[in-house]
Amino acid sequence: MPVIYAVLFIVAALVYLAYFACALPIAVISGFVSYGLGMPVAYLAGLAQVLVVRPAGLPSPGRRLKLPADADPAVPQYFYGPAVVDADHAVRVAYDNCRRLWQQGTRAVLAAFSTDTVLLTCPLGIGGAIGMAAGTAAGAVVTAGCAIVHLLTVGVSAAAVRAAGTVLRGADSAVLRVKNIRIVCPDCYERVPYPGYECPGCTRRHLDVRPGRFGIVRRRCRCGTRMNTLLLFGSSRMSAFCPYCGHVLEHRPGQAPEIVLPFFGAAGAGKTRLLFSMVVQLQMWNESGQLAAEFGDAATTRELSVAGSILRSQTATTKTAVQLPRAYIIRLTPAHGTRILLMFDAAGELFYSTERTQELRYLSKARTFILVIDPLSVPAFWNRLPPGRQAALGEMRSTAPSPDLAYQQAYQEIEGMGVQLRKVRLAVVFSRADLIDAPGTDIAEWASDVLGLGNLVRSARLNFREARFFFTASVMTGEDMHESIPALMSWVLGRHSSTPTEEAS
Amino acid sequence: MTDPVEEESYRSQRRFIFAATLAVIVALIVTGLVL
Repeated sequence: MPVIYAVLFIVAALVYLAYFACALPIAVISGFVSYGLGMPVAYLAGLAQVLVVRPAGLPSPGRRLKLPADADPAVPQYFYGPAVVDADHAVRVAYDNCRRLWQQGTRAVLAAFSTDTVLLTCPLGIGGAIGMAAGTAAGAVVTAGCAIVHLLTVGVSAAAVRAAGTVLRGADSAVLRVKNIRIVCPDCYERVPYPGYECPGCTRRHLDVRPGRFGIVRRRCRCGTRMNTLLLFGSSRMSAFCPYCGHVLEHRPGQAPEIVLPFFGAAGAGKTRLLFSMVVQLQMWNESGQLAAEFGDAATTRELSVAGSILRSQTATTKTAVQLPRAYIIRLTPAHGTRILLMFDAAGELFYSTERTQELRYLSKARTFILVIDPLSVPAFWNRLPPGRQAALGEMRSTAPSPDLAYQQAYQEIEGMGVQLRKVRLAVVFSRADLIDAPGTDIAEWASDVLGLGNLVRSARLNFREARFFFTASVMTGEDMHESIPALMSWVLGRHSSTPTEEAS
Repeated sequence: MTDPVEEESYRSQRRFIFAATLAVIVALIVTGLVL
């Protein structure tokens, strides 16, 4: 019997050893494959959870994107922060997945040593532990490779998107520069590099819609409305506002070059009346189809829609208020290209002191100026008039100081603002051509000899790139404007666009 | 609390990143197998 027991024991031992020899490597291989492939799969599953599926029970991201308190009310562009938050989130979720996988394996190995059939399960436990260890090491390497690929994809995409944003931003600025479009706020006179825009959906204000942190081609307002980021893409169709003073820019700036046209001169010289007559002339050209002219905003429409009736009825214009002027805006579309005309009509009193003139910062943005002089206000001319003429013209005469004062004041301030006068044109306009005799062909000579404004004439010719002298009458005869007005306008607008008078000539 | 506007805005970019990552991984595996 003992021999039989011994033989049976040896047979059983051999069978067990055979089982052990088979089960152990199978468990090792199973553990290795499970963890070598399971860990990268767990990482990719985490990536899919965060980037694609986004299930309701998804853990919260470990970090949040922080925006400055004064940032625009827009959704940040994905590659300007949220992509990094997502990458961090995906790594955390993937790590949790891997840890759960490892915990499951650990529980299975431990269970193999605590069952009633421990002799049968222990080879599986030993093999599983060995396989888990080796598989975890290999899986960690592969998972790290997947993570590197993921992070590189995010990094390369972010770099490409940001580069595209920079290029588009540069291209838009280049187009503005090539088209010579410089935006000036009609209210605060600041040079506006780019207008702010209101969201068409909720009217939230976006200070800088250009490609960047909140979008490349388009941005999305917090309300969900999409907004174009560039003038190239049609952002000017939205409601614009000045980013400095917040005033609404109704005239859709950024689409066309702007002509800043300041009128200056002594009080009562006829600046407002001249401006009115120029506006009426534009309206007449508009009606005859020679160009398209329209008021650029509601304020201009309100102030200038009466210009025609005032001139036709020969009513005096209201005294210009002694306050900082807001530009009158007119959109001009002659034969070639649209222009936005910004006309600043400041009260003459603002040109009598340095402090007041310095406030007129739009002077530094202009390249063409109109100086208006009432010849009757010049004592040398007035004193030579016969008493009868003086009596007849007395009511119309401006009692302002000599035109020299306003000219010198404005001239010094324009130069003081850093304007290169050699690049600037000046129209010296003598008003009242309907009341006094025409000076002949050489108006400058008349101004020097008869009005005694030789210093002014010499200074204008010496300091400005071009100084032209006009003798105008802001009056209408019937339905026609005095011929001096279109001549002046032709010169004023000629540099910027072809006017009807130019084309006719 | 997720912002639905943000979720909608980022959907396509997130899918792009996932697809691109998978594509690169598959490309690396295929390249490795071929070589």
